[in-house]
Amino acid sequence: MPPVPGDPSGIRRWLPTDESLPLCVPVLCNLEALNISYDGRWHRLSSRVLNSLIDLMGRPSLVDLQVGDHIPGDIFNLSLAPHVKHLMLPHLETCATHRLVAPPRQPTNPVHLESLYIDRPFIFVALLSAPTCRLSISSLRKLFVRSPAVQEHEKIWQLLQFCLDTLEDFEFNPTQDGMLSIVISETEVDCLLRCSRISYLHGI
Amino acid sequence: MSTAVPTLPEDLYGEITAYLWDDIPSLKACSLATWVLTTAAQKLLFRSVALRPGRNVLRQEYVAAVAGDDALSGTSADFERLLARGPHIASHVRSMHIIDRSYQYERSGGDVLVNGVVELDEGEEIIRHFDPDTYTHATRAR
Repeated sequence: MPPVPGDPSGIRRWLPTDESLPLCVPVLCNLEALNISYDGRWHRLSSRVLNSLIDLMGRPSLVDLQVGDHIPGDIFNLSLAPHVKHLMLPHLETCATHRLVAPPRQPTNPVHLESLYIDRPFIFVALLSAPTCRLSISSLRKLFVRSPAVQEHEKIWQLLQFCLDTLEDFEFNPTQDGMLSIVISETEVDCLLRCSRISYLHGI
Repeated sequence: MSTAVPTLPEDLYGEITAYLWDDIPSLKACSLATWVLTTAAQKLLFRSVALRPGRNVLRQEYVAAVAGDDALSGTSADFERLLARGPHIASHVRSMHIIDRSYQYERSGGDVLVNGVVELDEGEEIIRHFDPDTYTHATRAR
């Protein structure tokens, strides 16, 4: 059994050095939904495991993608499958993984989302605004934003501007600390009224 | 005297087993009962799979959570062995959940693993969840 790299939390995770997953991934030809629930550091993943996850996230058959924790933005942007419609991305990281070796031809095709769940609008707006970003939310129909940080709330409006023409369902969960902080102008309210459903969840 | 089993169009078997979509034990039973139901049952059984830590490193409450027959999860090694025995199962997988969460781990179990002095008891887990015989017997008998 090869040595297992340590984890700051003192536990020994299975994923970072796993040898079976890379063998299974190539044959999963009909994968439509993927949920990666890994709360460790992505830079601790072995190259084989990292490439396997990138491979999975890039599958043309993939429609539904959920990445639970702290995926570096460069990995996410590189690996995003072309036909993903539903994305849950609670914890996008701004840092880049310097180990990541870009393929000779990086994918450039835009990925048009229909539904989006995010936890940190500040980072996500930055990702969307980057010139290399492949994500497009101009066809978005459902948006769920959860943001406990008051200072991030203005970014929600920036996010809405990308998709107001098509948005049908908008949910905002500011959580308990930020529930009174969102400020939307009259114009913005007019735009939002095009949505068939607007929810404001109290994070209590 | 002929013993041939009368067959229906494959779609109909799919319709029948679809009523059991969330009843894992019954789907397993269908998979083993007759080869005409094996493919339809396996398509539902392996539609969604979860890869998780081995039970020997999980905290007690999570061991109990993954022990039931209604959960289709296992380690990646279990899944690899399953696909080696039944390669066709890979095409049935539509949804995959990869789980590696720190709060699920038993801290002391991790220390034992590091020293490598304890044999993993994954064998039992394989039988319960990803044992190829459990799912592919009828196919191979065919």
